[in-house]
Amino acid sequence: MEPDYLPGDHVLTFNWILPKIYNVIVFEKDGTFYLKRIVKIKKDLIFVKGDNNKVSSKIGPIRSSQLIGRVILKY
Amino acid sequence: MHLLRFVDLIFKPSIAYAHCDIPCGIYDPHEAQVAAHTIIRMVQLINELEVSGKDPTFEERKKIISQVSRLTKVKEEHAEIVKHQVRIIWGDYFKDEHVEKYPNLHKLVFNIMKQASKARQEVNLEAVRQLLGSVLEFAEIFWQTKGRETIRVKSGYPTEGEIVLPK
Repeated sequence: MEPDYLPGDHVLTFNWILPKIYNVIVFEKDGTFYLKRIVKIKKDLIFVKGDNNKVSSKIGPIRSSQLIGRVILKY
Repeated sequence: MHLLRFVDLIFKPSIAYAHCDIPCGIYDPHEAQVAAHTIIRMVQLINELEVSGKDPTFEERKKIISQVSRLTKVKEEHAEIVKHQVRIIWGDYFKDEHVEKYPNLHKLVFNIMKQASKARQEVNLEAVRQLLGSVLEFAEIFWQTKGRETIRVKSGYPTEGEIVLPK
């Protein structure tokens, strides 16, 4: 997620409203939390992508039930 | 330090990762090519097996069965290596822009999976040579996406086939 998010950054998430495209979100997959940017939303599916195309690994779409929250603050 | 960092010292936050695996960036289709050559060699060696006469002895039968078993085992293993290596590069390395530039990529990978399965099922020299051809094509696309020109050179292996190298 570089350059916006670097290893060791702390983020605060908010889950009272549904996130939109280009929002950065935290979601849970197989017991692990991930930070990615939303590129497409199709019904219940949220398609996410990392910012750093050179190294970012691919991950399939996630369901809205896996969403932890939208990142509202980096500190 | 941000005030929230102090809060985090008390209420430990969970770790979120930006990558679903280690993005080492180290990919190379070489192993898939070597494995494809190995499959060809195993088929050649199986085809070269001969018995001394129409009614071989029990000892000779045992020897032949043992050799076929060993060669088949290696053939099976290397077909799986081809599939594994190609799947890793296809799934972890290639991105949308690569597929746009090489629209045949998905079909090529699909063919490699099928050809490698056929290589396991049969003792068919023509089929495994087709598998090698597809793997070489895959290797060329891989290196081209990295901006590297490729060259096909004689492998120097007993299979007498070629291998793709970046220039």
